[in-house]
Amino acid sequence: MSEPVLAVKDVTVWRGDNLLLDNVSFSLNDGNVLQIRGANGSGKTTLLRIVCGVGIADEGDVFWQGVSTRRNTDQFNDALLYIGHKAGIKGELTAMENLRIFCRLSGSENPASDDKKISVALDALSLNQKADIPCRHLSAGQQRRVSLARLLLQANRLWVLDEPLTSLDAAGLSWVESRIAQHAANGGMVLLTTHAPINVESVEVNTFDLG
Amino acid sequence: MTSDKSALQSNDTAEPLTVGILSLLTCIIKREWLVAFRNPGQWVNPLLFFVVVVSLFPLGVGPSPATLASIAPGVLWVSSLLAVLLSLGTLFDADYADGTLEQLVLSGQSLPLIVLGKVLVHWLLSGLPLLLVSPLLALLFNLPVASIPVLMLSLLLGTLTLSLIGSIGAALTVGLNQAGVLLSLLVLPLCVPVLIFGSSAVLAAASDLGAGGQLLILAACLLLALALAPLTAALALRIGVSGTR
Repeated sequence: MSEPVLAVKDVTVWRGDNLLLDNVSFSLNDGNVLQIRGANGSGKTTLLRIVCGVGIADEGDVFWQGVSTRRNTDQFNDALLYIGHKAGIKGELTAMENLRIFCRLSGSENPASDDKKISVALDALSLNQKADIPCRHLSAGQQRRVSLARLLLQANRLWVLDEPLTSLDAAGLSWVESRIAQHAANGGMVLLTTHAPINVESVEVNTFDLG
Repeated sequence: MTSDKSALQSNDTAEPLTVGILSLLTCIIKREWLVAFRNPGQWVNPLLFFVVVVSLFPLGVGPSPATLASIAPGVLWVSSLLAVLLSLGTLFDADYADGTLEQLVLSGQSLPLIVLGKVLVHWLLSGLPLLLVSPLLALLFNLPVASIPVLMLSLLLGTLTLSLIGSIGAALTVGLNQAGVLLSLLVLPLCVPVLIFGSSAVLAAASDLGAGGQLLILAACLLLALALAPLTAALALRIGVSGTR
């Protein structure tokens, strides 16, 4: 059997005397969508941070294409799109400026075509009226939409989304679901946490329960 | 939307997605500049602090021109050191709080280069203004006019070095509550050489001695910090980002 693309093996995390994550193992292959479920405080965010490499596991490791992500960090980071609990956008900058930075950081060297893609993405998220307002003046849901616009701009193979549906309205929710379905249909991988069940047409959503 | 597929596949190959050095630096510099521009307190505060602290000394030690001229190099240097230190808190903490720091770490781009870009803008907004008002304050202290170019040159080299050294401390304390005191304890000892040679350069120039030696040592400190500080700060940032839940 061939190696899964992303494999999380025996991840264990202690918080003081409490065992937060106990030998968590799962794997993802191209086209898979995996939803991590669990109560508040069951370690969902911790687990996702460890997968991305911004958290440290006491035991266990994460493997990308069979190699520990601590060794092939560059390759893994190129394939990874992480949208965390914190939106990762600067409140002083407008949606356009924030997304330009993300395009550049993800390796694009063509500002003109970036700008075109960004306006299309902002249109899709009905943020085009708000593109020139500093993000701190946007509502929580709109700020979430700005960070989710990255799903249209970056062609990363693995999406790690921590509570992507927080503060989104119904339209935003179905937009995210359709994006996930499309990404999986194109052979991408999605690892996400949500409390609400998600309806992704045509793609099977695997679930993994914590705690 | 079928174009997505080919884009995804191309990521799979070993082709790195890194952008050019200049392109990354300009992106970071532009970002920092815009953020600072819309947050004027960030760069106005250290400057005001510097001016106020320096102007307190004549009130404390008395207005005798001879005394003032003899303490001026030390006062200007210590005050600029403290002003730079004061401004260091904003270097990484805001990015840490809104989650952009972890995005920078995970971007796969060169983190030392990102740090360098941030430090350069930090210096432009905190070190450079000090440099520009220093002649005025030097005159206030009755410092010989001939020594003012040396004062400015020493501050140019020195504040850049301080910003670079400070970035290590700021990176080590990122995400900690009340990091101010810890930051001072970490950074101030490392700043001592800069302070010694900076103020002694001005002192030498004020006494009509050559300040070339001290300035060269300051330049050497700057080059050393330029080579090592971004690397060290980048490592510390990686640790700082992963230390949280």
